[in-house]
Amino acid sequence: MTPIPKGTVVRVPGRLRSSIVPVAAMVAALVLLTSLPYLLQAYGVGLVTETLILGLWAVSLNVLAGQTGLISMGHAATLGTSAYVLALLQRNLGWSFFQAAPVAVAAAVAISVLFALSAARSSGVYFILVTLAQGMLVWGVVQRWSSITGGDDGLRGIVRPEAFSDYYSYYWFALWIVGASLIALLLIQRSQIGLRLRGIRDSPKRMAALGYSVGTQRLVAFCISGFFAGVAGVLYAGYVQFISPSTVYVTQSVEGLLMVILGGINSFFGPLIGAVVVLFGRAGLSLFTERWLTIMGVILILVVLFGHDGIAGRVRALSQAIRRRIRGRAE
Amino acid sequence: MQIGQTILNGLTYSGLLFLVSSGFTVMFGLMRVLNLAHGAFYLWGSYLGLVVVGATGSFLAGILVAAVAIAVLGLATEVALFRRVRGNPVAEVLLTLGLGFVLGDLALAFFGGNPEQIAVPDLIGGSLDLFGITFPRYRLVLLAVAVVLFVALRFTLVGTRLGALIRAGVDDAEMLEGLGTNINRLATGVFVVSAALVGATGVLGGAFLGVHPGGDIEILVLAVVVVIIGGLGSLDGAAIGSVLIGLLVSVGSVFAPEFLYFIIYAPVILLLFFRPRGLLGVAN
Amino acid sequence: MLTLNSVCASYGTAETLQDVTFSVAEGESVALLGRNGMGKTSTLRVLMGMRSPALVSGEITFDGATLSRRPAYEVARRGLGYVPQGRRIFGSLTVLENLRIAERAARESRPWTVERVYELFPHLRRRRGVLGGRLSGGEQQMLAIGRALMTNPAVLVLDEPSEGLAPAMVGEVMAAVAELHREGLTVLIAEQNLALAAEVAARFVVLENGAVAADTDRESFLDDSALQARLLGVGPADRSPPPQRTPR
Repeated sequence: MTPIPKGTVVRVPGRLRSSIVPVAAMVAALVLLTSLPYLLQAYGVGLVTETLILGLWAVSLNVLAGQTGLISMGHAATLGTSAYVLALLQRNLGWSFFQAAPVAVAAAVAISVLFALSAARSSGVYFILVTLAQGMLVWGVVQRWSSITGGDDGLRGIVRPEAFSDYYSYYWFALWIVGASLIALLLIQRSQIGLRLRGIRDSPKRMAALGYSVGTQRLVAFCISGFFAGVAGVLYAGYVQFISPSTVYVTQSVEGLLMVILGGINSFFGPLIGAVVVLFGRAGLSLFTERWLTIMGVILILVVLFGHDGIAGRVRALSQAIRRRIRGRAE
Repeated sequence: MQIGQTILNGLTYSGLLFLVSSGFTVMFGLMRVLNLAHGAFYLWGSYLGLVVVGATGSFLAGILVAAVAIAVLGLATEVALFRRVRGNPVAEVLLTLGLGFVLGDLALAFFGGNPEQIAVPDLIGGSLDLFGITFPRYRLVLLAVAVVLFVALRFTLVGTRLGALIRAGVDDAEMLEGLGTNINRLATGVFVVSAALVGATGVLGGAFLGVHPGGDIEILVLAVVVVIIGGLGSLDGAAIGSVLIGLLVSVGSVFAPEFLYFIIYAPVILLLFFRPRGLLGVAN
Repeated sequence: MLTLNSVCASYGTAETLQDVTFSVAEGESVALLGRNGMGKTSTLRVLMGMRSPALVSGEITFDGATLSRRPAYEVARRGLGYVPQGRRIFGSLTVLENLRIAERAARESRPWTVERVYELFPHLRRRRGVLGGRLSGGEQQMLAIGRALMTNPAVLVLDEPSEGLAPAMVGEVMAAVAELHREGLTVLIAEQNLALAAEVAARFVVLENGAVAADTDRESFLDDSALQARLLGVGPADRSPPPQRTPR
């Protein structure tokens, strides 16, 4: 371990204090969201469940993309690995949800470590290409190895935990796990670990000069990202109770990137907002058109061309402008 | 003679892969632009070829129309989209990705989801006996076209002033501009030629592999793999990568169909670990 | 003929040129002096229309036309031949190809040809089929100058052509530049070494912290050892090679 300089020790409490507000906000949001099944029908609750789960997945992608500056095009593979492992353990070995889930999450971490190792020496555009190849590899195995994975037909019969088998109880289950995961992710982001990840994003050379191995930091990022993507994968498998290669495909990975970029790559909650927009948008638009991929592509183009920092960035800029104006009036 | 058949299959597939990946890799070398809409360009070339060949009965007309139309599409996207984010590779990649999704989905909307096949003209159709192997004549023609294209591109790159300009741009684009070359125009030219090439290849490939939704991502990912192996930006690398992947696909689908994709992608990932810029990749 | 008027430029938020004003008359030979990091390379890069550092304000004119905010290729086509810092030879092109790709339609009666470059640097003729990346530093510098000449420039702009070369090579390169100037070519050369600058330039423009600190003729600058010491950090009449750079 590198000795932590004195000044850093002094700064830690301040950083913790600054975490109190968002954590409190999240707890409040959780309480509010808990009452949702009393307000909405099964369809609405289901949509919110999916949004929460994929929102967590998008935030886990942003640990790579936003915090560490690694644009991955293979993040669906991590989600899918966890879901497939859960399904296979349940179907073939008769394991319960809670028996299979830890193994599934561990599998997601393991595949993330493999991804990190194989992409360790690539950066920029090359990194994007390696992760694309990684994602296609997992997809290819899942899609082709049909004797085990069911191929394009996918795997059915994923069993939820007995206590949470109804749509509303599973919603609560997902809500509290996603909530806890987000709090954990937020605390990680604001810790020394998160600081180091941002360090290798912004100035890898300086971090290397300070004695931090860029490869190690990347591995850490992949592990954190993989763990929470694995959690999301387990929850997702339990929610849909079915898994097919499309969950592992590039389109799914790109949808994750869309959530991240649309919501705001430089913000913690941005990808969550992105997930809300993407999933609610798709659900709403599916009533009128089948051209979801076209719309997704157009949105991606527009955000890249005009949307600096996504929705979260826009909101931040707007709130800063309003604050400035209020302050201006007060003076 | 199954092995001979398999190898010949693989080599003809390599020919198609080279046709797809050559423009892609030269474009990357020159402008560091990774066009992830390349597969969608291919798919639209296929569908346009399908329509034109169906309407006119002329294979050549199909190729010409597809080449011109995709060249125009390439020019439009280059001017309207890519130039706005030049110098930001990640934004460029995401932009081309978005464009690829739009084009792929619109192809599905216009042409439906049924797999189609472009008819091969009689002149180059049918099959041929080659050392005891019966083999479709068309595939051999495709391989020949790829070899001719390789020779032509290589001659252009090595033997002409235009080729020297392109290689100089790959080495140091800013310096080349400082000597009076309009690098944007050069890049646009290369991009348009690369688009025309992939449009025409769409027709050739559509008569080989058929035309179907999702074919865009399939071909894109293969092109990506080919150029990663060979090294982004290297024409010779694209040729080597095409032959390797073509043979792997052919041998793999005979002997280990369940792990075909593993056989294709695992070596790529390994190679990138040991040689992050591929076999013959251009330096930064 | 060539004028920089109050040029300010920056890399991102870091200001590199604060107020650079000087001009070069036709047929003149001007040296841009100054210690490391004082803005010599930045000045030349802005002049050549490179994307960084970005021109913040000020104007550059050449032959009555505005050069500032024009793309680099237009600056080159209007007659500025650029020999950049570090030579920047196209490594995967042969010597001959390096020269050929720079060739531009001539504006004068006696245009530069590959043959004429070979006459100036006979060395290059022997090495014409060799890849640029395989050349020695001195050969690369000759090629960089030859390449700039192939654009048939009205002004030759050189950025520290002596940097990192063996002493014998420095002599040959500087003699060629002096010869080109005698033949009537306008020269603007950035140089750290006062003695070398004095060999080719009759006027010195000295930069300090991104601004022009002195603009004098050669003799008065060489006589003013106090000014030399202040601006260049060299002892009086020091004509030895520049001091070793101190590592950061």
